Amino acid sequence: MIYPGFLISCVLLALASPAPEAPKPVDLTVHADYLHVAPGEVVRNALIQIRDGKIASVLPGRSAPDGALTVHSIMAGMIDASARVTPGDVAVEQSKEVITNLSVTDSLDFFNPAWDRLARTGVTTTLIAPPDYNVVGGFSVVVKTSGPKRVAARVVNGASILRGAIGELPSAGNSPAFGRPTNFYARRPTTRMGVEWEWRKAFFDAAQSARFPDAEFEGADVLRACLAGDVRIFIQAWTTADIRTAVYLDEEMQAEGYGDLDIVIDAGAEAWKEPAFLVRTGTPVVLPPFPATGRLGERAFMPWDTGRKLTDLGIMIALSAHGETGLKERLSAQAGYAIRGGLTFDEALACVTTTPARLLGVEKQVGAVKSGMDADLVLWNGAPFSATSNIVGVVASGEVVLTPR
Amino acid sequence: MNILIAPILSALCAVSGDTGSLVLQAEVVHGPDGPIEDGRILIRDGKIEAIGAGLELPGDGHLIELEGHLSAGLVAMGDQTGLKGEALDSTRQIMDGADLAFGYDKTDDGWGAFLEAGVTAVLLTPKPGALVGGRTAVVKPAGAMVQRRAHLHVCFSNAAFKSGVAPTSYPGAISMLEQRMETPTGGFALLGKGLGVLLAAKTRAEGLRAVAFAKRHGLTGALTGVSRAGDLVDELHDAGLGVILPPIGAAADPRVAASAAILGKKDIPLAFSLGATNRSPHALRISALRCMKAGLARDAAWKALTSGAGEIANAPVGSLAVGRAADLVLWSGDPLDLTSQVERVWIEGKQVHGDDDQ
Repeated sequence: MIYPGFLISCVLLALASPAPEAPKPVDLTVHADYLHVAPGEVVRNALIQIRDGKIASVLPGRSAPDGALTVHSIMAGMIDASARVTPGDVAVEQSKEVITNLSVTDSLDFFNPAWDRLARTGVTTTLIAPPDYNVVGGFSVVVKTSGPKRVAARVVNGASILRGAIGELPSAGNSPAFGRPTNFYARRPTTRMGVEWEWRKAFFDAAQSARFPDAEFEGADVLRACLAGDVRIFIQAWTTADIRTAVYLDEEMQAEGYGDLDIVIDAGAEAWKEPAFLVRTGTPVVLPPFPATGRLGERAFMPWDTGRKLTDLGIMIALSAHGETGLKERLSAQAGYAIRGGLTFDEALACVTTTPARLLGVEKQVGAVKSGMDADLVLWNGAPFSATSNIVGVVASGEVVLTPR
Repeated sequence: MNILIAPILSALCAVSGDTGSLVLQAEVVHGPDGPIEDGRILIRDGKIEAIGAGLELPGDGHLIELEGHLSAGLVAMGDQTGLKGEALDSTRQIMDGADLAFGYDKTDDGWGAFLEAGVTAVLLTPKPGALVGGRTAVVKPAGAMVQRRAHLHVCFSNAAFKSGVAPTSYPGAISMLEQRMETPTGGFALLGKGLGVLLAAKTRAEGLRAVAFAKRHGLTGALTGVSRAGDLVDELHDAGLGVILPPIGAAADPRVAASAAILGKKDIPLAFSLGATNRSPHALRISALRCMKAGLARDAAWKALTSGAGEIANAPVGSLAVGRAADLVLWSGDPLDLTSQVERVWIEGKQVHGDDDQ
């Protein structure tokens, strides 16, 4: 999908030059000894030409021309499917437990320097979700980490992705009403049991309202689109119990004949414990950052060979750094940890590029270094993800956001 | 002490009475078309009847010659003086039918400070803390109510959110406002029909959302509270909105004043706010001078203190135009020089501050 800024520049270009002319000179040329075009595809001595924010050509077996940026290795800009750069709890509407008609887009702040920091770690595309204080928090949005500080210029049109959570967070901070309830925190669930009930009730009500128009409620159409498989649902579920709940929800809707949910488990740290559930529903998992100190969120534990185990079972996985940018926490480090846990280089590369691109529905635009795709590149001074290599440059939509010079 | 020729007693009668006229002459009069050397202002019934260099003294007129510069009074935006802590009703998130005018107390002790700083009009605004905090009012310090309903005050910052009350989020807030705009009632129905909108925000991202909201619905008014609104200059220009600048003190981030200069270059209407109750109204002139140092044109800075602020306030204040109320300030020198002081203040032709040795 072409994003609006590019479209506008194309239109302006067309208006400015009615007669066909010689091709516009390239805006930027970069060269690498090793170009990782996509997982399993390496081009030696590659010259990448960039025009209008897109990759114009990839030429193999070339030497670096004068003035070109040249480095050891280049790979596609990374994609974090759980980047969590939001202004916090004000990004999710908590006056209802299930919100399906709002989007996190209206809370994004591209003036926040966290975006620049993230872009400089080589993450060029992210999925931003409403924080998980709700059972269903609303729509997520795919955005670029750098570019003009305007929402319209940063949004990438991908899959429609609804966000929700199973586990502790949606029930945290709520309390039962003693005496007269004073606000909606007394109505919201206080337990996992309550959260699970909210999920099932939402889908049951939405399915029923299709048959009984009087039962229609605000946002039911979105839930029905989920049941029809038109809207993907990312569900945060750290523990194996919560992952199981998500799978049961999907299976129950199928058994009732209501539909088939397209679920992706986010922060599925304990997916390794009962992977059979994920195998039988074909549910992909976005793994949280590897635990430096043992436990992760909601006291879940994720051994470092989780990536290897899930991949062997055919479960689609993506890695995430949850938006962290420290040297030991950033997404490229997560890929390194996954390799240490047994993934091959190409599998790890897929986990931070092509797989998240597919999960977000943007695989035609980002995730690989191919002609016509966004010029999002990560430049390394050695083999990517190696403990002895560093990211020395980042190009995002053709703009150098971290220069190796 | 500033009077060279002074028919003292009769002048006092003329100012306070309904008959007769008063002519003030000063070394420089800052008229609507620029400074006038030895300019005169003819005042009758509290209103400006004429401005010029060689105005004839009417038969019933009394001339007072003054040393210094005579200008329109300054206009301060966004204050809560006189509202006695009642500038926010915390029971409801949307109070589109509420008027701050009902809280105005002209006997409040705080008004003296405004007159001392040469401020003759103040835009009262609700404190941030509700999505729609009410309707703003324009008042004269210790004087008349000029405009009971100037703007609907809509808050796009996170200050609008309260625990346990909808909305709790930016998306929720915008959705709630959009629902109100679909079938507008109360204050929402008056938008564009004499009622402006005052868009309160803090961050630039909030400002962008506020400006987009106004643009979507074709609302007129101003953005307030975004210290670096210069980064939104194109959107503000497209939406035709003004900007109320925050107080910019000597220690303020230089990017804030630079931001004002960016807005000024694109002719965005500007005004200055005091930002908080009990802030000295002298902060207005200090803010303007900081902006001038950062590149804001002198005329634009002066306009932001006076007539431009009056336009943003949606009230006939801040200008020496003929027919307007004679709200005047006598400065010891150039008002845009911090060494100049306020010598006297007139509101509707009546001296309300300064030497009374007439």
